[in-house]
Amino acid sequence: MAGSSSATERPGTLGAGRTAASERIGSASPPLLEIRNIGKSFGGVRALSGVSLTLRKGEVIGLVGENGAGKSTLLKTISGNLRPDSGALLVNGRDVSLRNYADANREGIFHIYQDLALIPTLSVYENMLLAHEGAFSRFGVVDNRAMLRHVTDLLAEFGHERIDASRKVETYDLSTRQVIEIIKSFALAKLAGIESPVMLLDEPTAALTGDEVEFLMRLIQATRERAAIIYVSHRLSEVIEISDRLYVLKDGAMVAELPATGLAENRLHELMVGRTRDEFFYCEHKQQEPQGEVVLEVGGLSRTGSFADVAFNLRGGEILGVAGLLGSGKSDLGGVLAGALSGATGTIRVGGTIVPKNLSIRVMSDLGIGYLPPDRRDGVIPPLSVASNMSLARLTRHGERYWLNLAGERRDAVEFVATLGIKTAGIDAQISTLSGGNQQKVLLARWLLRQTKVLILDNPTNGVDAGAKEEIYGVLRRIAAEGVGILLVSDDLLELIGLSNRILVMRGGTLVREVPAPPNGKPGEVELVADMV
Amino acid sequence: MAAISPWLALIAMIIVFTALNGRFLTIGNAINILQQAAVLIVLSVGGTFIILMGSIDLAVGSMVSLAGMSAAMLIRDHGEWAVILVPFITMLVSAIAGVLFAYARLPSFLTTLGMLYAINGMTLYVTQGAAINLPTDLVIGSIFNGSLLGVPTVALWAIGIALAATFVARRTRFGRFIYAIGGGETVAKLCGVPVARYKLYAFLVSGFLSGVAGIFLMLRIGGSDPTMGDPMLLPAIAAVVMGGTPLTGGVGGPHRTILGVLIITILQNGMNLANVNPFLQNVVLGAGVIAAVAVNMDRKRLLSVK
Repeated sequence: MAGSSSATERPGTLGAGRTAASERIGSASPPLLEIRNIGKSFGGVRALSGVSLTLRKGEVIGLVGENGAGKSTLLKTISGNLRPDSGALLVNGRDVSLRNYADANREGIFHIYQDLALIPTLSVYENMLLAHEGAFSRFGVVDNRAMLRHVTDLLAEFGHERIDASRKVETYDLSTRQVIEIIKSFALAKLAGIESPVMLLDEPTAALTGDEVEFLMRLIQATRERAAIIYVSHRLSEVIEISDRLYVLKDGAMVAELPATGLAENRLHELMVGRTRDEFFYCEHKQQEPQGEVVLEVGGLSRTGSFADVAFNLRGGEILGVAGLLGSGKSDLGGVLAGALSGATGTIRVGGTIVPKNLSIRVMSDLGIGYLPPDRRDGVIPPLSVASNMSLARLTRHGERYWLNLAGERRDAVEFVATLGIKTAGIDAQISTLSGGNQQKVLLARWLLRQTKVLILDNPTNGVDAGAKEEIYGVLRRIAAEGVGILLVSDDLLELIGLSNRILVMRGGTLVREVPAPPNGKPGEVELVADMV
Repeated sequence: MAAISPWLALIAMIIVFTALNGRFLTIGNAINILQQAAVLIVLSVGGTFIILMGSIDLAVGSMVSLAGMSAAMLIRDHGEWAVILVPFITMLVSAIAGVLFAYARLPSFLTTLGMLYAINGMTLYVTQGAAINLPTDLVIGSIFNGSLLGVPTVALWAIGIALAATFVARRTRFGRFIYAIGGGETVAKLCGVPVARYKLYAFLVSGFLSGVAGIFLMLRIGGSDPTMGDPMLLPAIAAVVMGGTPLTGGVGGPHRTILGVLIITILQNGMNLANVNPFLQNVVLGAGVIAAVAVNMDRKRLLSVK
């Protein structure tokens, strides 16, 4: 659950493990992991300066900061993937020097990566003990049965007997793979004779939503007593919820260490970016009552396995939010309306025109619908220039000429780079050289160039830092003011609340509620969450 | 680096070969090189469109054999102007691979590998392995294999085709869509690009041009041999990659392939003049391909190399 703001609002789920660790803080034993004054530069640019941190057994500490604040560099330093220029790393009070990740593993440090480091075509047990088969070998022959037994026992120990260790990893969903990844660190720690591993979780929920996040949180609660965890995430509410203490990194320096209890997200934002996050973040003062015609009319829309009987109207100039957990059907709804998913029944009218039965992206985009998919990798073509990326959707327009109008393409690109404030070395720069937020602005421009009446955005600020978010929100407000209707599908509740005129709440494939969200009467997160679960 | 390295290679070769043999840097030899390069230019420029999509066409060599055979038979049985049909025949055959790849979603590598074998077998079956000789007084011979003001016409045709292909790649919607498919197929699809149709189009272009290449080669050797195009497969792909279009697609283009063809042709021509053993020439060519890949590929950005 991405957006809920503190543990106290979500009784009964989490927060139980917090006390145990706090009691230990006063004890005499050295911390499991201690970092003293670590510094690291890349070619004269300081990525980390004088960073210190302590982590005790049973503790979960949160590490937050904007993109580029140095979080990844710090984690890589701890896991031996980068060597610090200065400072010391202590494990159980012992000064260690890590040359590579294998060294870190031997000290019981495990980095669990953003994109999971499991090999889909190998089985669960082969993955868990990969590169450690030696412990199960005799005369160079690997005893597969012993490995399987070892892993099966371990899974049972953590209460995950439902995972069949002999099955291929690719047959499991993302959240189960995350479980496998986490238990893998325990398996390897055990092999190294270490009782309590240090686990570095780098954006573990970036690929997950709703239920899966909840599941991961419970897993962390269940394992925290046996380990120590550094938790990195952009989803601040999540970090506050799961952590005992938080460290805030800003421009490579540790600017704050705070207890998590009672901590407000606003306070963290302030520390991370040096400004208060408030209604101005979402440009709420620019929110207008939509004056336009109905641009999108949906009635009795159903798709097997996704959602049933969905009906709503969207007016020009309106931002209509769609909230819901994973499996609520909100993402599929966006995909169907964009023509990216087939097999839906019901009626859709775009600007008064009834959409023909067999939807396709071409049909929908010719009617004036633009779509930003949830994964930015499905939006940008990395080797192509900013200008070419921007013009791509326009070129698919019905009746577009066979010859390219390169001069016109450049003119359009220059104009949008200026009006949307896209930071790029130029319109001929490869789009892959731009930051995530600026790439996203190029993708917005792509659909604006096609004279879009309706924009469907699925998590448009996913993985984008706070500063770039604010800019994107400003752009969205401007687009709405020009009369475009925006359907905003998002996991970020604060974003939905801040931006939307109305919010549709979906649960289990049906539209359960419509919540008005005028600038002076924004609903709370709790109100939305109550309908989502 | 990737952009200028083919030029550096060209300049280096010209210097070395000039030093080894005085006859290398003469107008006569330059014309020789152009004539030798012509067939390969036409063939690999067509293949470039496929590689730009991140796919591959392994059938281009056998397609040249098929084209040569068809052309020789058509001329023998229906007069020399029937040769116009040849590019359309190869285009149709390439459409089979294109449909299997684009619509049945079979990998291009295996589809075209299968096509390579099937076309080879068919050509050998129809000709019973025999060569077909051409009459010497063909009008098309003077059009496509003659000389204009001392320049071989085949080279002029090849340059014209390469320029047209470059224009198509850079200045048409078709070209842009091919780059987009190679750079990110899902993205292209989500932008409304009819991906399957354009994949098929690329195969039609490649098929058509291998037919043209086959006619040129047939006219040059004065007849057809059922396996005459087979040895051209590797040089055709190597020229694309050496020019600067990686097998992963999305960047490069036909204008780069012209450079790649010149590098390969000059290397062969220079080694011939320098009396390098023909077997050793292959060793040098192989090393050249590997070096080109090493320079051109952004290996740091690749997650894994397969």
